[in-house]
Amino acid sequence: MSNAKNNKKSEPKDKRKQSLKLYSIGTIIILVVIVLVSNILFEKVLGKHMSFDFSLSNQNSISQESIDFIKGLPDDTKIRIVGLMDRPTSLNNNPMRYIVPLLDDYANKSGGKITVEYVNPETYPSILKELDRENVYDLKKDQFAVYYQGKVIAVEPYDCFTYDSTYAQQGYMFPTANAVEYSFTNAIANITSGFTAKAYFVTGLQCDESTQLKHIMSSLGFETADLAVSDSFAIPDDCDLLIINNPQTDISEKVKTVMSDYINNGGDFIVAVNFYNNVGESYPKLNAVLNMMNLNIDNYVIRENDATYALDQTGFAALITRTDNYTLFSSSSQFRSSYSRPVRAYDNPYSYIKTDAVLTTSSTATAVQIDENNNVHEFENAKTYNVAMYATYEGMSDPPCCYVFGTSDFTSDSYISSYGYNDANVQFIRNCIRDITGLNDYNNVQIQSKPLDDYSIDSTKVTSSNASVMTIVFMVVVPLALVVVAAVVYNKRKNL
Amino acid sequence: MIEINNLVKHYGDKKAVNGISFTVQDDEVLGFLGPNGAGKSTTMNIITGYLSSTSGTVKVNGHDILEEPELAKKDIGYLPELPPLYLDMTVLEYLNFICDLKQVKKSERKEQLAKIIAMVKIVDVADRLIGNLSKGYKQRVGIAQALVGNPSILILDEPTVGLDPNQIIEIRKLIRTLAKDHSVIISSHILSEIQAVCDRVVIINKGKVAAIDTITDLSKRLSGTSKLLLSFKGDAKACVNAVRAVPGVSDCKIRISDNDIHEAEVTVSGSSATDIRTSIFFTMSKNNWPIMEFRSLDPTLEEIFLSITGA
Amino acid sequence: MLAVFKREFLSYFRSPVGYVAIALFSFLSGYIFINNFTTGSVNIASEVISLRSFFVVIVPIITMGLFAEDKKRGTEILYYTTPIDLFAVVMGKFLAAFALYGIMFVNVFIHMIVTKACNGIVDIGAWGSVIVFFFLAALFISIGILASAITDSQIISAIFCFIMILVIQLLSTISSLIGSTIGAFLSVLGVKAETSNAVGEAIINGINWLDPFTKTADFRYGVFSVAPLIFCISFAIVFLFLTFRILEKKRWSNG
Repeated sequence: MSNAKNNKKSEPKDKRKQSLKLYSIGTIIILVVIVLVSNILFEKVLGKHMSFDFSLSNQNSISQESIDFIKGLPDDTKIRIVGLMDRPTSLNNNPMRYIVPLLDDYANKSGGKITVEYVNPETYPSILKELDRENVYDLKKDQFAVYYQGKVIAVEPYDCFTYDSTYAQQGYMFPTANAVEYSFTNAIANITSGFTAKAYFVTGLQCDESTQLKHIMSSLGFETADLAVSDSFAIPDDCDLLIINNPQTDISEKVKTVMSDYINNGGDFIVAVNFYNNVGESYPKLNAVLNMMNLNIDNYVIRENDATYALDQTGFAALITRTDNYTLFSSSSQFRSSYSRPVRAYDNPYSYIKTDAVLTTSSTATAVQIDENNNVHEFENAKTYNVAMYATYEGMSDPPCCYVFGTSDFTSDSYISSYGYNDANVQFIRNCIRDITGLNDYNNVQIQSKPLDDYSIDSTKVTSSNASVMTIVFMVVVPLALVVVAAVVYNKRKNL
Repeated sequence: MIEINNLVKHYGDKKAVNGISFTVQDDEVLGFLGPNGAGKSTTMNIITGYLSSTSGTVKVNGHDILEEPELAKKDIGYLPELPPLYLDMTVLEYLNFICDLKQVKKSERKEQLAKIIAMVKIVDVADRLIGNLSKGYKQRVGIAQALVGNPSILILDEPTVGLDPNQIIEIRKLIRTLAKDHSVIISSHILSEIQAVCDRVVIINKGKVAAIDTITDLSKRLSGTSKLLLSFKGDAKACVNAVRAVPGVSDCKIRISDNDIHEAEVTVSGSSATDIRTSIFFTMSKNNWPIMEFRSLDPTLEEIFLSITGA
Repeated sequence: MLAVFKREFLSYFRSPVGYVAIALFSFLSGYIFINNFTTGSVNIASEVISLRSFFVVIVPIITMGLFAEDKKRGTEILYYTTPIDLFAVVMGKFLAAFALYGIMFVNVFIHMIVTKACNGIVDIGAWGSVIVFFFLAALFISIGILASAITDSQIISAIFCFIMILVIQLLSTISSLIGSTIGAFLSVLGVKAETSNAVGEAIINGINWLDPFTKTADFRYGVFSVAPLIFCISFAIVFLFLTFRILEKKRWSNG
């Protein structure tokens, strides 16, 4: 600046201004670059570790079970989870709130084995082609596609929850549990293990819907289909498991014949029957089939007399216990069961038929009959009854196997939807299915579903008078008071 | 003390300030004079650190305003042309805020504010809203604001603009009081104000310093020609011709004629103005033209200013 | 900084602005809370998330005057000619607006207490969304401050701030719009479908990366991650720094 005098004329440029401008813009650019780079770096490098799930049930973190399973997959495994939708942004009061963060957690914790992306097939129709080259999976918008080596398992967001069945009958979908991780980890397990099996549900016997059981089975890698009872009833060759769930009428002669053939060919099946208030119901033809496995469902209802087992006054709802051979099937040793029928070994003389008690009552239960007038008749002496039994043929390469339940509390929609996928009964039936189909040879993934957060408040306090008091206080009194204060302050100060 | 060296400020191609240098001594009142657009406000804004100069330096008590702005600004109290007042605050609230801004210690604050409020005479409006004050009071609050923090230098940009004559007199008095222990720079285009309060004057025009001097010296420097005022009764034309005939008088013009009283301006060339007054007196008395008023006209700042700026 | 903070914060309560902003917030949050309450299930996190959509209205109200008014009244010269750092001025004003937001938020804390009193749950997700709320508030207030510094008209500043926040709130919509448009455009130009899709997607992801709402969505479920918070804070600092530079520009620019 000392020689500014000399060159002030020959220096039309404002050097100081230029340098200040340069400095100013330079620092802004440097700051923006630093912020961008450090944000990206932080997110990519530390983001995973600097993320903590404090939610009580860890709704949005995958469990150690999933992590271990994914860790066990080969290093070069590449699983794509594609949400066929725009990435949901508004997660408010929406089932996606349990799905989107959890899937992000899969991507984070999988060590690159799992990628999660959202592609809207309406914007990018080519994604469907890309995932499903042969057009066999029937992918739709708003599904999640789990893609691995050309195979796809579609997961519906709706199916990731269990719903209260009583509300469902009234048309309300009231979710009871979050099975998002359950659905996705099982899908990943199935698609990577290559296990496939087909299960058929016999329908047309006034059975309940088997929606929940079908969900459980499809998460285990089963394809499920219905098989309606008719004159041309036949069991397809690809049937790996036949299920008769809660029939309220006996099977037809035709079904009996077909099932006999099926058993002779080594077919596996599960039967679950309980005691409805239709007193006259009996299953002679079904029992004829079961007799081939040396089993029989009796036409009684079990009454529990042991007060530590009984769940109600009548003793018809009670706890049952698993036998020693089945301790691995569930963490809990006791299960709920109501209006159970006794299942017993029949007097089939063939020694190659092996039967095994699975679920039993206490030693003081009785089998009773209920007549038309709801009068209870004691029928047998107090003893231990079997509520479920297993039977198979010994010494065969592909023997027929079956589980027969004298209760519907392991398979019915109403039970599963009320108690959720984590219930001991559900866990038990799931392991029966795994056992009977040999799925345990493929993977042993047992994912828990998670309870949903319950934000309901004490309903006795949600009175209309309380609501109006709060409306008046929060929406009228407080804002008005503030406005009044504003006016007072304004006026007072205006005249100072 | 402020040293201003070769200050240049460009606005694009326009040079608002073009090489201004001057120094303000301690406890001196410096008038800063120039027509509108001469660069007064720009210069003051640069001195106070509001704007940065294109080149040149400003040193406030030895601290460069660009290099040590905090130290330099501490010593300056600034009243801009438009006083920076929050109209929604009371005077006290506002002055307390200024204390916060200038980091006046809590312990000194009360005493200092009381002193300032008394000095600028705003005691009775201290609790009133600034927005409700008259222009004169607002100006005083503005000055009070500049005084907070005991700066050794006060820079007042047009401190009396828009005030009524009473207020102007009050403010001038105030400035003279302040001048006792502050260096003061006052900019103005109201010349009487500068005349009234300043020791020295810097005249700038078109961004350059046109003159720096004390007011008396400046007058003297300009008094190569001096003027006399002559009021008289009688025949104006004859009188003018008679006065013109006096040796040493270079011109005589009638300025005002009011009935039979005329006021003439007599331009004197040469140095011996006193002699000429006697000659004129006798010329007048000889002709029986009564002299109503007869005095020498010191050059006003207007004249100095006009002659320097070449208008 | 404290001086500016004190003045600006108190000035909210010297004028009706602060009271009106709080009244507005009380009304809106009360409405949401009572709506939840009458359904018998109160999720504070949802309430807080819903309240985020009012940033677009409330932030301009409380930030529009911060610098614009100073410029208009000529009081900004105080910040240039007193020994205070300009950045401290920016921070002071920012903190004042932020503190006002904090005061507004007392409403939500009252709602939490009411919820607790009715045996409801104030879970970790609720606190998560509260944390996010304040970080987002910091980000948006810094935008509001920037808007206030670029003009001397409160109205223009409010409109500018409104538009900025609106754009950010609609960022995901905007991104998919832009992404699909560019993707479609590329495929019109004869680029292969995969490539154009990939480009479109990359653009969507790129723009979405900037969306603070998506980034912080997981907090309400109790998943706390540090990266989104750093994102909000660092961009708030960028906007504040930009404001500081814009103020400082006055010193050397031709303006």
